[in-house]
Amino acid sequence: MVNQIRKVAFVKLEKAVRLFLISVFCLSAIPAYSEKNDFEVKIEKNIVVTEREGVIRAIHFHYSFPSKESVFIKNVGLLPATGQVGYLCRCDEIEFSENESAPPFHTVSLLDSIEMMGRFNIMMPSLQEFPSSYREGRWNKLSSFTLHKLNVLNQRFPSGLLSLSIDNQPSIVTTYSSLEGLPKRIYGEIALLISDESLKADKKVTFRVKFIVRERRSHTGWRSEIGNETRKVAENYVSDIMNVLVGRSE
Amino acid sequence: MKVTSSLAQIYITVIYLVGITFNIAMIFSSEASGRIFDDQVIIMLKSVFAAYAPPLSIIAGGYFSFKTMEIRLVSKNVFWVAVSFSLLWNIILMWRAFSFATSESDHIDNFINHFNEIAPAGMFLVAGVLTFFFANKEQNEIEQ
Repeated sequence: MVNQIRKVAFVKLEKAVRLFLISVFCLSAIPAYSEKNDFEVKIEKNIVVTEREGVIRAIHFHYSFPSKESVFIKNVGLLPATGQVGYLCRCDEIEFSENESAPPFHTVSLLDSIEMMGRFNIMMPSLQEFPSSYREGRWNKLSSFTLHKLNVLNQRFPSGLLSLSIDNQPSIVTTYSSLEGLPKRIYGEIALLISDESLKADKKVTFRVKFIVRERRSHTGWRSEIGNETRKVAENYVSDIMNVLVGRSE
Repeated sequence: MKVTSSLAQIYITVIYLVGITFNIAMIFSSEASGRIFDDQVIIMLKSVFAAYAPPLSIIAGGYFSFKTMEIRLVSKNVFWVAVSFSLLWNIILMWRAFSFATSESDHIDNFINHFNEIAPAGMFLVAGVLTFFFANKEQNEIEQ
């Protein structure tokens, strides 16, 4: 008798556990909504493109979190609570949090994307190509450095910016951009790696800029060994962009 | 009208020497005008030398293998056909080099492929001519 009761109880418990597990599985399978409470995230572009180191997403979205002062987007940085951003990423979701160390309060899946047919080439420089030397700048203004940085870089690198995390710091690797002012038949391109470092005490941001340059002649392919003219132009370009990034010039 | 075999040899030799000199000059001109990197001159020269190696080695062999130069007569038609084929083969290469050295957009790989592939493929034009005039002493004598 006792055994029978135990058996029935065990079967019922097993059923209950099964039901619980199924419901947990079903709930986890529901995709994250882009609208929840007073949040709004509107994905305008989500394109998967193939690049030499794998798959990259080109995304652009509007977001609004009226109840927050600012939001931290993973791999991108601290931004105003409402705005729009566009960048490239090696990610399947966008994570919004209060700050870089807080857990995400909102996540948007990017898995429902358009995959480009044919060849859509993005020439991203590899992280290993960047030298260890860098130039350092400091953002002393109260407005968002991330927003300023994205605006400046989007203007100068129209092929796109790859947002990623290096040593847990939001970083940006740009695509290549042409260098102007080189002698005839010499072509140069520059790409930047910008990593931010927030200083907790005064909320100011220091950032490091590394750059790589490649050069070609009118009848040749690209090579990383560059001539003096190209080096000079590239260094001037970096000085100029440093001035713009720290807000000294437009 | 007859042409001597030695005169035909000189004509053909001059065509090839002018051809290789012109192509080399075009390479140096490309380098001087900044179309290619300095170190790529060597790669391009190698492809030009490789293209000209078979005909020039037959020509040089023809000159050095005969102990005595005998003056023979060849028909005018044979002479002009030989000159035309030699010119055609050289012009195909010279035009590519000229185009490379004067255009604003081209690629060094296209130049090298042209010399590496077109020159041997076009050897049928000149192989017989060169053999006739430089490698086969007996055939230089023509029936009167």
